[in-house]
Amino acid sequence: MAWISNVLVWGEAQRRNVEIPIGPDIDGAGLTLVPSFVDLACDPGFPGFPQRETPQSLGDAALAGGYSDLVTRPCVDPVPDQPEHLADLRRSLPGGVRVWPTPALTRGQAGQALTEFGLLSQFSIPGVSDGGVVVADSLILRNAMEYAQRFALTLWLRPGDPSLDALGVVHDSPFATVLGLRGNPATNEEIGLSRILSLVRASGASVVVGPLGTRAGVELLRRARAEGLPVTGYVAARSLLLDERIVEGSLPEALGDGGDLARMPYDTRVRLHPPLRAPEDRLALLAGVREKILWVSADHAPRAPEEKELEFERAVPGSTGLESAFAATLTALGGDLAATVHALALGPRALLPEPVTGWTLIDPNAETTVNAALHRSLARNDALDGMRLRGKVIACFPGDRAPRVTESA
Amino acid sequence: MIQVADQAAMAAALDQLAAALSDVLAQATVPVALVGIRTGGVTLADRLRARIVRNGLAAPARGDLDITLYRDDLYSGLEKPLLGDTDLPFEVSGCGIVLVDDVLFTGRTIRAALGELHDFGRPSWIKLCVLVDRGHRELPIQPDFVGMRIETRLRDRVTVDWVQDQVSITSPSAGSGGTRP
Amino acid sequence: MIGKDLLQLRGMSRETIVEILDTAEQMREVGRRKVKKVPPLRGRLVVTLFFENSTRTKTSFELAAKRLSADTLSFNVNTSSTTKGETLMDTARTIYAMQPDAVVVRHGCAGAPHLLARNFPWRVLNAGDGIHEHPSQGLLDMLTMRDQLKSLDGARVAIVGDVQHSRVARSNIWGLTTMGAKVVVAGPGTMCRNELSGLPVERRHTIDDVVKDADVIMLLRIQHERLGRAVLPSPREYAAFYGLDLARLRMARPDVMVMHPGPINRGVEIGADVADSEQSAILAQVTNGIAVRMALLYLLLGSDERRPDEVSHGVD
Repeated sequence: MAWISNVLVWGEAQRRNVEIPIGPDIDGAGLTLVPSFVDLACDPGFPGFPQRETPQSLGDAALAGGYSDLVTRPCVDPVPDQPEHLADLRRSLPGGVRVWPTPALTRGQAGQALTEFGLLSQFSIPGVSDGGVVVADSLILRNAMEYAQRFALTLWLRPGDPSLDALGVVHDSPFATVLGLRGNPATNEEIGLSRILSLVRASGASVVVGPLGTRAGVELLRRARAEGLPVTGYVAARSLLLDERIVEGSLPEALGDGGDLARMPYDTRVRLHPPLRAPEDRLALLAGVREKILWVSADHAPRAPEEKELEFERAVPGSTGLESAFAATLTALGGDLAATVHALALGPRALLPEPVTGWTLIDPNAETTVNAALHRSLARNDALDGMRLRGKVIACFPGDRAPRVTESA
Repeated sequence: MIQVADQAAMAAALDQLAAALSDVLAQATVPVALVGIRTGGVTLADRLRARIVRNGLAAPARGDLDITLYRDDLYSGLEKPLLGDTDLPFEVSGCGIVLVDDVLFTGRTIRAALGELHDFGRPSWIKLCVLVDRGHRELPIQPDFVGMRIETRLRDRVTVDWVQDQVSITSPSAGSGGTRP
Repeated sequence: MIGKDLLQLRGMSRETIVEILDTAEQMREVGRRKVKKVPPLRGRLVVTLFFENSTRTKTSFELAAKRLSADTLSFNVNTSSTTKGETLMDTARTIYAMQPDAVVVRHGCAGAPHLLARNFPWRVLNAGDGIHEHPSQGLLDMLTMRDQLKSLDGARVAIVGDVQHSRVARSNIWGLTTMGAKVVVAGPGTMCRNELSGLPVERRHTIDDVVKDADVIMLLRIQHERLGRAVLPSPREYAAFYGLDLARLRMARPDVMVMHPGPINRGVEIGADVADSEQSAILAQVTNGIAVRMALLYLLLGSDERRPDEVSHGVD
C-alpha cells in the first residue's frame, strides 16, 4: 500500500491523502485526482499491424495519457465481424487498461451484409461500428438501425456521403486550392449526418457519431439532441486545437507560437481523414464541447513510419492521440478542468456497457511539450508533436487498481 | 583611398596604349578586333578605339565579352555579378584579337576570357592590353600592352574611375567595410 | 536570394523573380551562339526524376543543364497503379547515392518536391507537383510576356480553362501578381470553383468577359482524363463556351498575346487558326523555357558554398 498525499480529489474542496494499491508514494501537492478517461475511437493496431501497436505499447500509451478504457474500432486484420473474434479482442491490456471492441457493423466492413448483432451483443460491447468507413448504402444503414433495436445495440457511425467522402485529402477550401491538394468538402459530413439523423428519427435507434469536424455537423447534432434523438457525438481532441492551416505549417492565432511545432508544408503527420477543417469549424467544435453536446476522443490512430514517410496524398491518414489528448483538450478549453473531465471521462463513460471506476492523477498547471519520440506508443505520428500545451498526466489507475477514493483517509 | 593616377596620367597612359595598338593595326595581315571584358574593359576599348580613329586609322571591329559563366570561382560563395551580354559581331576565326581589360590582377579573368573566345572560334592571334597592371599574378599570363604598373597589397582594391579619369587604391583596413575573413 | 530550392512561386520575392528573368535573358544569348555551351556547371550532376511522362519539360531541363556543361542523368519512374514500386523516399535514397547536385522532379502529388528538399541536401527544382505548382513554367511564361509587354507591372492577364487543376495557372498567378500584374480567370464552374478565392485572381463567368481588355490570354490544356467524371460533358461543349476561336480573338486587342503551356488540343481550348496566328507566343515559350531553366540551374547551383577551400583571394 502507498499514498498520494495532499491531493485534490475531483468534486471535493479539501486536499487530503488517498491510498493507492501499489507504490511508490506520490506527493500530491498541486495535483488533482480525476475520473480516468475513456477513448471513443481507438485504432488498436492489433491483430494485424504489429508495426503500429502491440497490446503492451497500447496499454502503456493509454496509461501515460490517463486512459483506463478504450473503445476500439474494427479496423484490424482480420476484421472482427463474428462473435469468435471477440474473445481475443475483449481483454485487459498490460497495466489493467480495458479494451471495448466495437465489432464491425457490416461483414468485413464492406457495407453489404449485416453482422450477427444478436450474437455479438451477448458480449459486453459498446455497440457495432464500421470504424472510419462510411456505411454508404442508406438501405443497409436503415436495416441496421431497425435490426439493432431488438438487442439495444448502439451503432457507432462516421457520418459521410459515399461519393463525397472519397474526395480529397484536406478540407475543401480556398486554402486547399492554394496548396494544390484535392479537398474533402464539409458538405460530406453535413449530408452524411443528415442522412443518419433522418434514419434515427425514423427507426429510434441509438447512435454515436464522430469524429465530427464541421460547424454544420455541430449544428445538426445540437438540433437533434434538442429534439431528443438518442444521438451522441464526439470530436478528436486535436481538432479543438488545429485547423486546416497546419498542413502549411501555420497554427491558429489563438495558440500563440504553440511551442516548437515547426512544420514544413505537406507534413504527413497532419494527414487525417476526415481532415482538419476551417478555423470557424474549430470554434464551433469548441462551443459544442463547452455545451456538453460533444465528447472528446483521443482518436488514436498509430501508423508505422513507412505509412507516413510518403507523399502527402499517399500517406495513410491518422494520428496518435492517447498521450496528448488530455493536454490538448485542457489547453483548447482554456484550462477549464471541469469541462475537460466531462468531455474526456464523464461523458464517454456513459457509452460503455459497464461502469468505469478508474482514476487519473493530473497536474492541471504543468506546461508540457508534446514529444512523440518519447511516447509509449510504438507509433510516432502525433499531429501535435512539438506543441507546447497545458496540463500533464502524472499517473493512471484503472478500475482494478484504483485508489480508495470513497473511504475517507 | 589613395589616388595613384590623375587625369593627366590617365590621358598619357591612354595615348601610349592607343599608339601601340595603332602600330599593331597598321602592320596586321588579318582583320583585328578590340574585345573589351565587361565592364571596365568595354569602356577602355571604346576609349582606345576613339583615339585610334583620331590617329587617322579605320575603326577596328569591336566586341564585348562577359566572362561570368567562365569564371573558376563560381562556387566560392562570393556574390555573383549579374550576367552581361557577350557580343562578338564579327567572325572570330582567323581574326587578330586584342583583349582589353582595365585592371590586370591574378590573371584568372584573362584565363576565362581566353576560354570563352575559343568557344566562338579559332583566332589567328590574341594580344592582351590593360590600363593597370597591379601585380599578384596567380597564372602565367602577361600583358602585351600596359598603360601603367602600380604597387599594391593583395587585399587592396584598385578602382578605375572613368568619369573623373583617375585610378585609386583602397586598402581594406582604411575602408569602412573591414577586411574579408 | 533564390534560396536552396525552387519549389513554388508563391512566396517568391519580386527581386528574386527579376533576378531569374534577367539572368534568363542573358542565357538566351548563349542559345544564339555557334557553340551553345558554357562551362559554369562543369562536373555537376543534374538528375531529372520524372514520375509523370513529360517529354518537353524534361528535354528542356536536360538541354539547359547540358548548355551549362552539367552532366545529366534521367530517371523515369513508371507509376502506373498496377506496379507497386518502391516509395518516393527509397527511390530518392538510391539516387542520392549517385551524388547528384540537383534534382529536377515531376510528380503527381503536391508537395513531393518539398519532401525531397527537406530530406536531402541537394537542390530540388520542382518541374510540376500534382495540381500545385510548376514554377519554371510560370517563370518562362513571365519572361515571354515581359519580352513583349516590356513590364509586367499593371499587365492584364486572362487565364482560361481548368484553373482548379492547373499547376501552370497557380505558378503564373503567384508570380504575375507579385510582379504587379492583374490576373482574371474564366472557366466552367467545375474548373473555376468558388474555392479559387484562395488565389489572388478575379473570377469571371464567360471567356468574352476576360478576353476583351486582356494584354495576354493564357489558355490551359483540357486534360481528357477529366472528361466523364462530370467535370466536363464533352470537348465540343468546352470549345463552344470556353475555346478561343478567331471570332473571340477579334474581340481582343489586336496586339494581344496568346499563350498555352502545351501540348495544345487544337479545336478544343484553342482554335487551329489561333494557334498559328501571329498573336501566338507558343513557340517563343519553348525557347524561353530553356533559357529560364539555365538561369535556375545556374543561380541554384552557382550559389553553392560547399567548396570554401577554393575561394580565390583575387577578384579580378
